[in-house]
Amino acid sequence: MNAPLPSGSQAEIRASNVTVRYGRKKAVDDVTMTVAPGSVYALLGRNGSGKSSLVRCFLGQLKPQQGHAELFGDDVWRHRTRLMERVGVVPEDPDAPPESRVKDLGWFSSKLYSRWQESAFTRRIDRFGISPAARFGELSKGQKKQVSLALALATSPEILILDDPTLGLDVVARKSLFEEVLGDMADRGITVLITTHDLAPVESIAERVGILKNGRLVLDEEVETLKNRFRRIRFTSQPMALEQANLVAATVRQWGTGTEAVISNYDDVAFARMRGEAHLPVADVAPMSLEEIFIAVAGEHPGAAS
Amino acid sequence: MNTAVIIASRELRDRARLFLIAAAMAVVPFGAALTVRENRQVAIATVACFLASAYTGALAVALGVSSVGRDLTEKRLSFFFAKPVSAASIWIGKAAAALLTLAGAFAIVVLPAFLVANDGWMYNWPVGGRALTIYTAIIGIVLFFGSHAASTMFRSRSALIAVDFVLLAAMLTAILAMSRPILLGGGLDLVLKMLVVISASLLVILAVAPVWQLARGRIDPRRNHAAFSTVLWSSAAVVVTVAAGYALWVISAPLSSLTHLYNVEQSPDGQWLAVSGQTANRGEYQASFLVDAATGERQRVTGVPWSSVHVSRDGKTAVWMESDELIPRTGTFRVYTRRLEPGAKQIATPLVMRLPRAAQLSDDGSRLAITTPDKIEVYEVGTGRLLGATTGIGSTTRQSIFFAGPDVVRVLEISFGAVSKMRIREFDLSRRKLTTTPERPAPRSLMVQVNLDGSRLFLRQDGVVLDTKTGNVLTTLPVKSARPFFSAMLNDGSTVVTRDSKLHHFDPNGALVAEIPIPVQHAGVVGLVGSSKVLLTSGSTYTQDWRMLIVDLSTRKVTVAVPGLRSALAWWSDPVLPQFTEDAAIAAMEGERKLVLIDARTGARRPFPS
Repeated sequence: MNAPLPSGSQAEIRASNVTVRYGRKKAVDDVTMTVAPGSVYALLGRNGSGKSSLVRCFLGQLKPQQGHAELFGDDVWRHRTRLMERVGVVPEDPDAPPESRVKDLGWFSSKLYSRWQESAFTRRIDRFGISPAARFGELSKGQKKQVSLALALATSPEILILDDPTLGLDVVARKSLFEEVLGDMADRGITVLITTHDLAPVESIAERVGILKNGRLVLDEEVETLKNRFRRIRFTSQPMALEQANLVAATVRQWGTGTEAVISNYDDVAFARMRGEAHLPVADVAPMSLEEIFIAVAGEHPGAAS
Repeated sequence: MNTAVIIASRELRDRARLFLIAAAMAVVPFGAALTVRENRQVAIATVACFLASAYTGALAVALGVSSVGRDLTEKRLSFFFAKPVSAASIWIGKAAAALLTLAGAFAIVVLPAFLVANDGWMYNWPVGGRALTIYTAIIGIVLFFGSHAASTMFRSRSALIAVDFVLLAAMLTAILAMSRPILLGGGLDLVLKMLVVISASLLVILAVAPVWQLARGRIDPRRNHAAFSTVLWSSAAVVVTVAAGYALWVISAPLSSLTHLYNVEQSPDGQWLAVSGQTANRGEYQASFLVDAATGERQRVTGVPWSSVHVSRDGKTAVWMESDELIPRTGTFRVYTRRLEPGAKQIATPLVMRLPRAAQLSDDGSRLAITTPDKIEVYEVGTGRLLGATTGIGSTTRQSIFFAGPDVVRVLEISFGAVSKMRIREFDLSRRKLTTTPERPAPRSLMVQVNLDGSRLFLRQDGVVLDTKTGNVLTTLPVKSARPFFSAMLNDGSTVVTRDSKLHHFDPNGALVAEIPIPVQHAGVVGLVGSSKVLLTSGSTYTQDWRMLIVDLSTRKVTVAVPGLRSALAWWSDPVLPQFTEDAAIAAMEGERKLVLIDARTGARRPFPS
C-alpha cells in the first residue's frame, strides 16, 4: 500500500528561496527558512501575507515558481506521495468530504498509513464528544478541526503541520486542540509547523517564530531571543535620543513631549546609557508579548520593521 | 490494498444515497405496469429501460462534473493530497468509483424488470437488452469523462477556456478537412472508421489526461485546467496528425493502386485517358486521374467520383465536378475543365450546380447539357453562361441526354409505371423551342445508343432503331442480342449484333449485310474504330476467358484478337459510343487491376504508364 519509509532522514522542514506567484502578484517572495527536527515553529502573518501558500508548498500541493520546499531533506513537490506517510496535517479549512462519516474517515486513513493508531483516533474522537457515525459535513467548525486533528495525530506523524488550526474556534475548543498537540509532542517529540493568529498559546510552545509580511519573511528567530530584544520604552524626550543610544525603533509614537517606542535591539546597557546621556529621569521599559511584537513587526504603520 | 482501490471504496461508501434512489426507481416500472391491462411485461421493460438509461446518463454528468471538479472548487482536494496517495491513484480511484456507481445504478434499476419481464425486454424493446446495456455504457463513459473535462475547464474561470474553444474548433475543422476529400471520394466507410478511432483515442485521452492534471495542478483549479488542457490538446494534436497522415495516404492513392475501374474514357487517339476506380487497401475510396499515355503525365482529379470525368468526343477537353464547400451543405458542385494538352492547367469554371440527373458534353467540349428534375439546361462551359433552358420535362423519369448538333439537345425520357413509356424531347437552343415525340412503350433495357449526328436512337436490347425527331421506328433487327451491350449502332446508322459466334452486320434499313465469324459466343460492343471497325470485348469472371477483338466490317475479318484482356471503357450507360482512330492505343484490363494499352492496328499491348 505505502512506499517504504526513508530511513535516517530527519524530520526537518526547509524552504529555500521559495517564491509563489498568482499571476503578477507574489504571494511568497524568496522565503528561506528551516524548522529544526523536534522543534515547534510558529509562522505568523496577517491575512494574505502568504502563510497558506507557503504551507501548501511544504505539503507538496503547490509548486513554487522558484526555489523548493523540503521535508525530511527531500523535495516535497517531487516526493509528496512518499513523504506524506510521515506528515500529519490540520488544514485551515476542514477539507474532508462532507458526506463521509467520521468513522469512515478513520477507516480511510487506516488503510493509507502504516503507523495508523486506531485506538488513539477513537479515543480522541470520544474525548471530543463526536459521534463516529456523524457525517463530517454536519459537524460544527470546531468539531471538524478536532476530527482533522485526531486524524492527523493518529497517523503517528513525524512532522505535524497545523494551518491556522484555531481559526473560528471558541476558547474551549482552542484549549482542547492545543492540549492534544502538546500531549502528542510530549509523547513523541514531533516537528511542528503552525500558522496561527492565536498567539498566546503559541508563545508557550513555539521555540522559533517567523513572520511573513507581504510574502517576505521579515523575521525568523528563536522566541526567547526575540522576546529579549524587543521592549516597549516610554520616555519624556524626543525620539532622537534613541538614535543617539543606537537603539532601533520598530515603531515610534509621540505624544506631547513624550515618546513611546518599540525597540527591536534592546539591551540593558544601551538603555542605561541612553537614560544617562539624555538625562531622562522618567523612562519606563516593559517586556512585550509575542502578540505585541507581531503587531509591531507585521503592522502596517511605516515604522514596522524587524 | 492498492491506494486507488482504497479511494474508490471510500467514494463508494459515500454514494449509498444514489443506490437507494436507484432502488426506488426499480419499483416504478412495476407500478407503471399496473396502469395498463395488456402487455404488462412490455410496460415494465420499457419503463425500466427508460429510467435506467436516463438515470445513468444524469448520474454520469453529475459525477463527471463533481468527482474532481467540485473538490477542486470547494478546496477539498487537499484532503487527498495531504495523504500518501499519488495523483494517479486519486483519479483512478475516483473514476473507477464513478463508473462502478453508474454500472451499479443501472443494474439496480434494470435487473428486477429484466428478471420479471424477460420476454417484454427481449422482444419488444426496440434495441434489445444487450444493445441497450452497451449503448448506455458507452454513453455513460463518454458523458462522465466529457463532463469532467468541461467541469475542469469551466470551473477554473480561466481565460484559457478561450484557447480551449479555439483548439476544439481547430480540431473539428481539421477532422472535417481530412474527412472531406475521402468522403468526396466515396470513402464513407473509411471516414466512419477513422472517426471511431479518433473518438476512441480522444476518449482514452480524456480518461488519462486527469492523471497529469492532478499530478501537475494538484489543488489549484487554474493549474489543473492548464495541465489538463496541455495534455488533452497536445495528445489530440498527435491523434489528429496521425489521422491526417492516414487521410493524406488515402487521398494520395497512386494510379497504380486503382482496382475495380468503373470509368475509363479516352480521347479518340487514345492518348488521353480519364480513369476512375476504387483504390487498393483504402476501403471504398475512389480516385480519378487524367493521364497522358504518351508522356505519362497525370493529374489527380479531386472530383466527385460518381459524376466521373468526361472526355469530349473530339478528345480535346475533359470536364468534371468538384465540391467547393468544406461541408457539402447545399449539395452544389463546381464544374472544372482542362484542355487535354501536355502541361495544361485545370480551370475552375464559374458554373456551379447540383449533380444533374443526366449530362452530356458537346462534341467539342464547349457546351454542357444537363437535365435537372424538371428542366433541360445548356451551359457554355468556359464562361458558365446559361445558353438556354426549358421546363416541362417529366420529373419522375429516367433521362438520357445527347447533342444532335451544336444547338439541338435531345432527351430520352422513360417513365416507369404499370406500363412504362418513353418519349424523346428536343430542345432547340436557337429557337428556344421544346418539341416532344408521342409516347411509345419503353425499351426492355435502359441501355440506348445514338449515332454520330444524333438522328437515330438504338434500343440495344430490343434491336429497334428510332428516329429521334419523330420517335418513329426506322428499323427492327431480325436478330436480337442476348444482352443489350452485345449490339451497337455505327455512325452511318448500320447496326451490329453478336450472337452464336457471329457478328451480324445490318444496314441502316435492317437488311443483313454480313455474318462475320468471331472466336467467341458473343461479345460486348464497346467502341468504334475508324469508319468501319468495331471494338468487342468478351469474358466474365475468369480472366483466362477474357478477350478483346477488333472486327473490320469492310473486310469482314477479325483484325485484332488479344486474349487475357477485356475492355476498360465505360460502355454501359453513355448513349454515345466511344470512337477511336485507326491507330489508337485503347485501354484494356489485364487482370482486375492492371491497365494496359493495345494498338488498334496490331493488337500489340504496351504497359500503361503508372
